[in-house]
Amino acid sequence: MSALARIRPNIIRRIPLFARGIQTSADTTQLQEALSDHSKPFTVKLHDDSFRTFNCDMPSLDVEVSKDELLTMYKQMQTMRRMEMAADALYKAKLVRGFCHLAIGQEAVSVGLEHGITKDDRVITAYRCHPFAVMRGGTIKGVIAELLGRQGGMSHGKGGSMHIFTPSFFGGNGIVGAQVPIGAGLAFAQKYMEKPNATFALYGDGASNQGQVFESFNMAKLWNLPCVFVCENNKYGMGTSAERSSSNTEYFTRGDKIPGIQVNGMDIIAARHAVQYARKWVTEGNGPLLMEFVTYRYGGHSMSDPGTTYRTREEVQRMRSTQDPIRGLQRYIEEWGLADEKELKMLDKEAKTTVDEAVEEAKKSPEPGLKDLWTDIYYKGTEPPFMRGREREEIHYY
Amino acid sequence: MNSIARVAGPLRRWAYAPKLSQSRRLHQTPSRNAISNLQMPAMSPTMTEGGIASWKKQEGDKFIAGDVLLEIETDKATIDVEAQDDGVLGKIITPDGSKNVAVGKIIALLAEEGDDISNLEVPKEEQKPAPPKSEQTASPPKSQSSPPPSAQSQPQLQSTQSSSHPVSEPTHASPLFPSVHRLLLENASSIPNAADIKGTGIRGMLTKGDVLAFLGRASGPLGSYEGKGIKGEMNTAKTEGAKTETAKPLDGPALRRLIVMNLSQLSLKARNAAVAAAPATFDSIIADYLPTPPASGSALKPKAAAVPPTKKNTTDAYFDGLI
Repeated sequence: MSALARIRPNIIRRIPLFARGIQTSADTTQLQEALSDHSKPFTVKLHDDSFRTFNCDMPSLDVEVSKDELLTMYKQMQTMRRMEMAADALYKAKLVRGFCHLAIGQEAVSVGLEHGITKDDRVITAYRCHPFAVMRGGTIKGVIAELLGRQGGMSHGKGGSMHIFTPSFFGGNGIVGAQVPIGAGLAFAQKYMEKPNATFALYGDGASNQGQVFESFNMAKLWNLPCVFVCENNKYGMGTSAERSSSNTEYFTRGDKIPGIQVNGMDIIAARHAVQYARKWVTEGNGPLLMEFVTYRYGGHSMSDPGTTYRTREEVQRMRSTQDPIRGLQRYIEEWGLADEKELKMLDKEAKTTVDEAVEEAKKSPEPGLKDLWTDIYYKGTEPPFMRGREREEIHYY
Repeated sequence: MNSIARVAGPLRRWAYAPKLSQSRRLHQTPSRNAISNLQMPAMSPTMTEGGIASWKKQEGDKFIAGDVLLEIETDKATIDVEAQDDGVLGKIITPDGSKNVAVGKIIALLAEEGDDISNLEVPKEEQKPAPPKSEQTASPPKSQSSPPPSAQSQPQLQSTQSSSHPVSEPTHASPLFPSVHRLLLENASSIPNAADIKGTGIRGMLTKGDVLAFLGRASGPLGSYEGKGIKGEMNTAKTEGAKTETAKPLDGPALRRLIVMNLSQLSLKARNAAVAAAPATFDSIIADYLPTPPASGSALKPKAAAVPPTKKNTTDAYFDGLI
């Protein structure tokens, strides 16, 4: 089957003949008028095909951005890229063991999401979670140390890649699609406690066919929960292309009564704008919304997947050179005169040194001690009098 | 650095690992003197060494992120290694066909575009610093944890528990069965310290029988059980096993001797049984059929069916009670 994937040309997406498909380039946003003052926010116009909608209004294509915000987003995307590359190198040096799912190429989704929501909104995703963990209040050293299994990690080294949490980020979940009902539950809690916040429950194109995802859709729509279901469609579910796994590859239409919007996930300005639109939609009481980010991952599904048995290397290289989100934002910044190449290279360098320092710091952290076998099992103060260990004679008294 | 190189003869330019001090230099050109090491990657978590199949890029070639730099041969397959960043291949250290290259060994030097790669030195292999182990190392707590905490934590537990519960939690050197635990709680007033009761269960565990015997409600830990108990059975099983192990198989003459001896014994018994014919009186015959008097002991004595009555009474008196 994988040999066929090489021979078979790109599958034509099943879009009706005269319908417009979404475009997934990262650099199609246009400046409306020449910038005079860089310190003030300015308006840009997104490409007409940046969004496709299902039973809801198209977001306006005029977006207000500011120089600081764009430079911050550039630096954050570059830092996330560097962090994932450092994790890749550490895995190949056998310092990180077990699972490691990297999001190289999908940075626009995580950084764009962060810039579209408030710090009280909730985010939950599956295992491709390292950028989300850092964006939602984590630290790079915490994530890297967690991968290395050291005490400095965000779960004290006992959880690993799929067990990273922050107060507003609910992981880091291993079972495919299991985080979507939990996300709906978070939205339920927000509605119950009358909080003006939204929950973003992310899943992939491979998980979109799971039964519990549709159960969550039903409950969210029935009870009008402020939940945005976000499908990160990177076109491959592990090794299966979306066309071979799903009968309906327009994931934003699969909410039935829930309206949906498909977004170009490689253009960070479009991504951020769509997230703001979605947040506004659900917090105004319109019920849940389905968002689909069309994005791409350059690496394999995880570190044990080379990523070339089900797609050609040329395809990966083409996406890297023409649709890279960081290159796209770089082009915007340079074309609109916000910064020149040298300044951006400085930001690149700062990102690299930040990550290198965090990696060094994480490596210095010690491994968990024997006493850590007994911590973080029960909530503090509710522990039982004693707990059995690995052997009959090993009893720990709290 | 360059001026010094020109002045002081052919000074070799040492290959640097990327250092912070260098990044703070003023930008003269887009080049950064960051020579990075390409280490042998582990293409699978179980890989410890591999071979270089072939280099796809030569020294001086430019590459972008995603290009294949070389192919690595593992014991399972030949896998392509892609570059992570854009750059230029500076120097190949392990050429095509190298075998048994350990994971982590430096196989090439990568440079940024525009760097001078004419004189690159192979850097010394750095010792990978082992992760600092925490203070508690390999000593397992095993038997150390149970006796000391049971002695020390008992008064602690009782003092802490007595504040929250009216009855203190009974503890013993070994874990408590739920039935035993319940008994101890119910009779806490008459059992001041559960650890005083000796356990006769497996591995010294406290059994219900022990507690009941301690309370006086049972005669002993096993009560009226007539068997040998677990330990008794285990002991006899052991001794029987020992005995059967030492018994040797019989050889021919011994077997014949055994058969002949048993035969002679049985024939003697039969002869004696046949000869012994006491004169049969009415009482002696009837006594076989009357119920045994209770003073003799257990009611059910198995009748000796092997010795039939010598004279059968076939007179009408036999049928008296029947018709």
